[in-house]
Amino acid sequence: MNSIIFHFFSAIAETSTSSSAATAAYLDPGSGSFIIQLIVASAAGVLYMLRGYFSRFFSFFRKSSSDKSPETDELDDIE
Amino acid sequence: MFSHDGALFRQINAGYQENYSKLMESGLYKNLLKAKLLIPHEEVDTKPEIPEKAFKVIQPEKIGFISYPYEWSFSQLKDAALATLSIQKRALKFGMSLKDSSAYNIQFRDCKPLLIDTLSFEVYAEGKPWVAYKQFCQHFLAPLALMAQTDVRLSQLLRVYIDGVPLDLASRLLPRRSRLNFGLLSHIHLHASAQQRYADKEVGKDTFRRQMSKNSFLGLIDNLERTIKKLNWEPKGTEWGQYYTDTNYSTQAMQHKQSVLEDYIERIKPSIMWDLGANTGFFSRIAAQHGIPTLAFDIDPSAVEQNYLTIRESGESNLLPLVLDLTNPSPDIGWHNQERMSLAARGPADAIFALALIHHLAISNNVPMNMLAEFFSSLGQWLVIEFVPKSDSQVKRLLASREDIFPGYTTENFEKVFTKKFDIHSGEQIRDSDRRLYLMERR
Repeated sequence: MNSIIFHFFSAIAETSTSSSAATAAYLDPGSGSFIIQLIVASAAGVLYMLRGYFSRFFSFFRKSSSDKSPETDELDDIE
Repeated sequence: MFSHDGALFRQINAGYQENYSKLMESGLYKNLLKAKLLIPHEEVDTKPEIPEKAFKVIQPEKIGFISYPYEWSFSQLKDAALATLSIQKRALKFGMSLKDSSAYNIQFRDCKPLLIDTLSFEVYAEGKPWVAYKQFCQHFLAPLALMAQTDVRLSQLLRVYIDGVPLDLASRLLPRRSRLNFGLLSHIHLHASAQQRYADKEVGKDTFRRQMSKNSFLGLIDNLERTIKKLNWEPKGTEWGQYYTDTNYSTQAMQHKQSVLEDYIERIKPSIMWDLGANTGFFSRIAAQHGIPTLAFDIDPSAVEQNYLTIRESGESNLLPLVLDLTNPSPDIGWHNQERMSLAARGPADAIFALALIHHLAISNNVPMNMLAEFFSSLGQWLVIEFVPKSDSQVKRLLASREDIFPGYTTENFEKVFTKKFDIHSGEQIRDSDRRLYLMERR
């Protein structure tokens, strides 16, 4: 996790200075895509989990209401 | 993919058997069909193209007209992106995942996006990251962000970069404020930086063995979806209701034009109609409402956007709006110039509408009359064309700022030139106007 956080912040630092960097289109951008996906997905996964907890927490108080959370609405047609 | 007696088939090889069986047996196929997100297909007994490798042959339902992402308006591309993510979420529920997220795999049927590549699914292996992540960012997220935050015309980058907008380019073109959005910061700016950072570095095999939990996978898809939903673009200018009102017609002229068009359509009963310069599709609807599959092309992304949103809201059928510059129509592009077809290669249509268009091509763009006749005759058997003479206020406006070097732009010369390529069946003067509406058939 520490290395993920390090990568995340070092990438932020880099992106703010790299706008005039030369492009390297002949090189395979696959490795970078792979690595950034793992980092971003870790962060997004935490947010996703927290959102799930919150929506269940609030739905507990809304039990009597027929309202559903948007997440369940959208996948309602999944059998 | 192969064709036989004019029908398209797909051969499923033995190597893909496990994935195909899972798609069909897990309930995913049924679920996607119910949600109208995947093209239906039938398993057929047609002889496979390479029998020694074949597991099955399927025949997908036919799509009327193949359109490309650089011909879509903002909301069309956005809906295609959201459809792709919805498919991926459903796939994950059924233990599968999309191995491609190409925008070219999405087509519009009844003006709704659906996946046409039945063989895009693979069995999901727990821990494996999304193999189509980079492609999704390049094909959907980057062009949508550029259209929403920089300039809507940047959708045309997709015509240059066939595998989607390079992320370093998107990162440079996006405004600084895009970095304040977590989704755009991560999936475009940091993604581009990571690509550059690791492009010339050796990455150990251990890195590629790193796992991504299913929760992280779902979080990634959820975040992409939220990021895309937040991207919006609205045509600048006046209220949409009046945005494209053609003030050049009186009510009487408008009604007469409509009734002449209805008459022509009933006479020729075309199987496919292309409305060139359709604006927001007012006259395209006359054909569509007669049950004729109609494409409403226009150069203006605002007009196409408005047309698409109207169709999406009303649920009208037989009508698909697309962005197209007639003076530079979509070419054959990609490998061997054979991956994506030109407009001409996707034709011909049965009938063409060219309404209030000729003055833009002949005067604004200097296209000689004989070339116009040739162009229209190459696109369809029937031509419904409106001639807008120099006495018309719209033409006067075009000529106000330039020298009139168009002595041949007259009704007589127009008829003379077009007669070389077409038989003129009818030429009706529109009441309360100087314009004339012709019905012509290619010779």
